[in-house]
Amino acid sequence: MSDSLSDQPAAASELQAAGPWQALPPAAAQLAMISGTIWGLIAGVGAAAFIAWPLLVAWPVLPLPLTLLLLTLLVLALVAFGIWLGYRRWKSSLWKLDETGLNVTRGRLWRKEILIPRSRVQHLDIERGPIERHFGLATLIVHTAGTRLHALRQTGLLDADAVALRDALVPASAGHDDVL
Amino acid sequence: MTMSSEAAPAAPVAAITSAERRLHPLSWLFLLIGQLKQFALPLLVLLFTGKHSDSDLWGLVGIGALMAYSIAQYFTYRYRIDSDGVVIRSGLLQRSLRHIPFARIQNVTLHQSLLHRLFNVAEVRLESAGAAKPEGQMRVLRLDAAHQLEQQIRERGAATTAATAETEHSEVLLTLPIGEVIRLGLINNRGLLVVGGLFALLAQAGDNLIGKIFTALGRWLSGQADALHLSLLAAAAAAVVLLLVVMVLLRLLSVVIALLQFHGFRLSQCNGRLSVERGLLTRTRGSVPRHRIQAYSLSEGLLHRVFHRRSLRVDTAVMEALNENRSLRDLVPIATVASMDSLLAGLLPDSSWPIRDWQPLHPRAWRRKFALPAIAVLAASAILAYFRGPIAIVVLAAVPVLYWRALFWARYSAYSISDGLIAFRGGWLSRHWRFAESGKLQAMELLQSPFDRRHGMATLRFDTAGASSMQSSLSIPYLPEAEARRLYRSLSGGLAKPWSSATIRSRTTASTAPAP
Repeated sequence: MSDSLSDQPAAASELQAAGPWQALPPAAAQLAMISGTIWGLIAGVGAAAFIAWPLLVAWPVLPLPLTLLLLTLLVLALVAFGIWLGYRRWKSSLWKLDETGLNVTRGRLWRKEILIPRSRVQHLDIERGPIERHFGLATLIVHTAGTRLHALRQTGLLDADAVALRDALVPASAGHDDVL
Repeated sequence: MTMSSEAAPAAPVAAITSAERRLHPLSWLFLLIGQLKQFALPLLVLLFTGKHSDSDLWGLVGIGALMAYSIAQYFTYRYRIDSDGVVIRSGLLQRSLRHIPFARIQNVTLHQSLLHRLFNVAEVRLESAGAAKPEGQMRVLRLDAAHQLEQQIRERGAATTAATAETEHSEVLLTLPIGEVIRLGLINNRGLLVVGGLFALLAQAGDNLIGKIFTALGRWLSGQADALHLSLLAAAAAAVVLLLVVMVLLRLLSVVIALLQFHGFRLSQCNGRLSVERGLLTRTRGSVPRHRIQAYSLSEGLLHRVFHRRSLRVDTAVMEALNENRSLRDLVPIATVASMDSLLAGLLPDSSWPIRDWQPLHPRAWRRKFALPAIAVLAASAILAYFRGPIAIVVLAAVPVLYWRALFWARYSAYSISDGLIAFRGGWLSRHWRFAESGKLQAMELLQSPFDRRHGMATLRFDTAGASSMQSSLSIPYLPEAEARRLYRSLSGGLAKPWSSATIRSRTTASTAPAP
């Protein structure tokens, strides 16, 4: 996965030299699956509450234990789906820094390849949530002057990678910043 | 018009540079009106729903407080033209000092409503990139002071060499005579939007107002029909006539709106700066350096084609505030095909317009355009057949229409990436062109859906600044995959270098002053 980068904090020059696509570290898979679990739980509870009313009150055709079992299964199924989606998202997210700028791919079924040129970067943020801190990960947010891609979020980067990427992508000197 | 730039006196710029200036003494009135506008809805609600006898009193107290606030704002607001920007000092308790560098000011807008014109004052807005609110707002200045400020900002913004101030020459690119404005109203049908907005407002008002109005209207209409003893056919004819009348009324409303907004429209150019001036009662004038235009969209609807006209809108990097019609978005509201071409040729980098080398999309693009709507129609007719029986056949008549639509769309749609210009055109009955200079691209995406992969296609999507969320972004769908990847690679090379070294800069007198 991230064998070249996971051990030592990568310097900007090393990052630039890196040719092939970089995968996210294995810890990011856990992070993605945890957030998948949370989203699956929210969606599952929402869906269960949505069907619970007709099944329990309006048309109680099924015995109560069976209904509860069905609802639990529904929640579990959605959680499992969320975990699976999180895993797939982790698997299909790749990044690459080359002389042009930051390249990112997303998705497998609906593939998306994004390029943010270094010359268009306005400013950069690094966010570290509690779960991310636990895994030593960070989220890099690349801001451009664009509309839809005005802020590209890349979650699940190794903290050192995120910092190195930020340093490598800092906007060029003041004379060139007038990209609008 | 009252706003011609000739009215601005050639003031000794250096003398007034450092002096702090105030707003017009009457500006508290306009501040108050502005605030009342913001509070208009709550105030109206208070007036109409306030059953208590003291609600009037509270209203008065509120207005009094706002008035005191406005007067305080007038007394604390100062602005000053510095050597490199505009400095605005404001605030009574929370004081703020704002410094807006000339190089950062994207638009300067002069706004004059009827009331402003009565008092010979104007509101000046200084807009910078990305801000939803104007960076600096002078509400209000005396008209000549406003002109002076506008001119100073224009000069300083373009002050690469000392000579620019002398060589000022304004060139009128387009004016709209009244006939054109009427055509514009007929074409753009803004009346529909206004009526739609009214309905939305009524729906918000609660009490099922719309329902009541419609049932009352329906009862009245059916009463009329009963009284006239209409047969079924006659009733149908009457309904058609009624519909036509409504449509004509909507178009008339649109013409009125167009006259209000675009009367006396004038697009002019001065030292690489574009100025748009328009309005019948409320006059606005906006100006933007030509190199600040981020993307263009040219459109030609069915009615456009009847009149042989086209419309051009541009994106500037200033975010569109809701409900605020920016004077610069409709850069060329309406123009004949030939004059639009010559205008665009002047706006875009040397000889890139009209585009000559349009490239076709993937040969199977029509199938993609056809498949999804056709499947939707088939599904709809299947559902209808299940519930209503064989009448569902009628729905299937849409399929050949969709087929022709897809064929025409695929035949017309094309892209062009050359000479620093990225363009896509599409459409069948109504057509649109969307293009941007490659130096203005902020990011690039290559997208592939599962269907794309099956057909070996890909979509290239470009992100530019200031694009409105209402309209589609600049993207080229249904490209052959290999071609898309080749373009993606070659464009990424071009994006790598900072755009100030690109060709765009050289053709304008843009500021090269470094940011502070």
